[in-house]
Amino acid sequence: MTEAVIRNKPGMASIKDMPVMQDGPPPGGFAPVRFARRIPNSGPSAMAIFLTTFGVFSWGMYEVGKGNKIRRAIKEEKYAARRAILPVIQAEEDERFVKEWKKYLAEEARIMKDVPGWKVGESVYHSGKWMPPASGELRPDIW
Amino acid sequence: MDSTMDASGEPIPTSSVLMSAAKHIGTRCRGENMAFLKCKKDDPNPEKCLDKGRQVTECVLHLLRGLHQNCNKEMDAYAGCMYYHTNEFELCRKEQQSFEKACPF
Repeated sequence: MTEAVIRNKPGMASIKDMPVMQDGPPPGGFAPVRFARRIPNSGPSAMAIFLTTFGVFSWGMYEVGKGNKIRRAIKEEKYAARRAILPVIQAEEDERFVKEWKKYLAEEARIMKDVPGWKVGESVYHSGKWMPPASGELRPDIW
Repeated sequence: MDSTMDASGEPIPTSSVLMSAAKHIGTRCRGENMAFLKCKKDDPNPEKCLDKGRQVTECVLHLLRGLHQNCNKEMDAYAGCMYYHTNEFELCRKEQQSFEKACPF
């Protein structure tokens, strides 16, 4: 009954005369659609692209160089400051070391006083240069 | 760290104080520094270079006392900033400018 109400055509003799209800194009058809390729041949040439790339890269490297110069100057300032205060710190450490070394030599002399032919504090090397002590016993508080 | 001097008026040579005064030390104590380094190069034995080391320490402490007398506040501000930023020069430019304007080397 419902189909006959919806698809009614006035003057219908039977339901076999009902018009077909379909989804279709509008009357006159759809507008034409272009689907052909249209890639233009205009735009920058190869040389132009290459020169632009090379130019941008060169400018970028120039900025990198400028930045490196600035960073190097900052590092140089830090290193110059360290170089300036190195002698003070080394002098203080030398004073402390000499005090501890004298204590160490006194202890060595006490321990080895009965050993014949023992030279207190002599270097274990034959080069003649002074070498820092390697016993690792000079700062028992840090141990 | 509040001040670069302790109670008895002696300068405290912490790393931040030394780094703040590094440019002054580099120019004013240059002779003593060079003599000490040359002595060390000839003989690394600490006992041989003790006197030159004492000269270096005296020069630096004298310099620190002078800086504290002349530009006390700027030096304390700069050393405090260096202490806070662990001796990063880039982060203490403002205090550095005011310190070097007050006490040029």
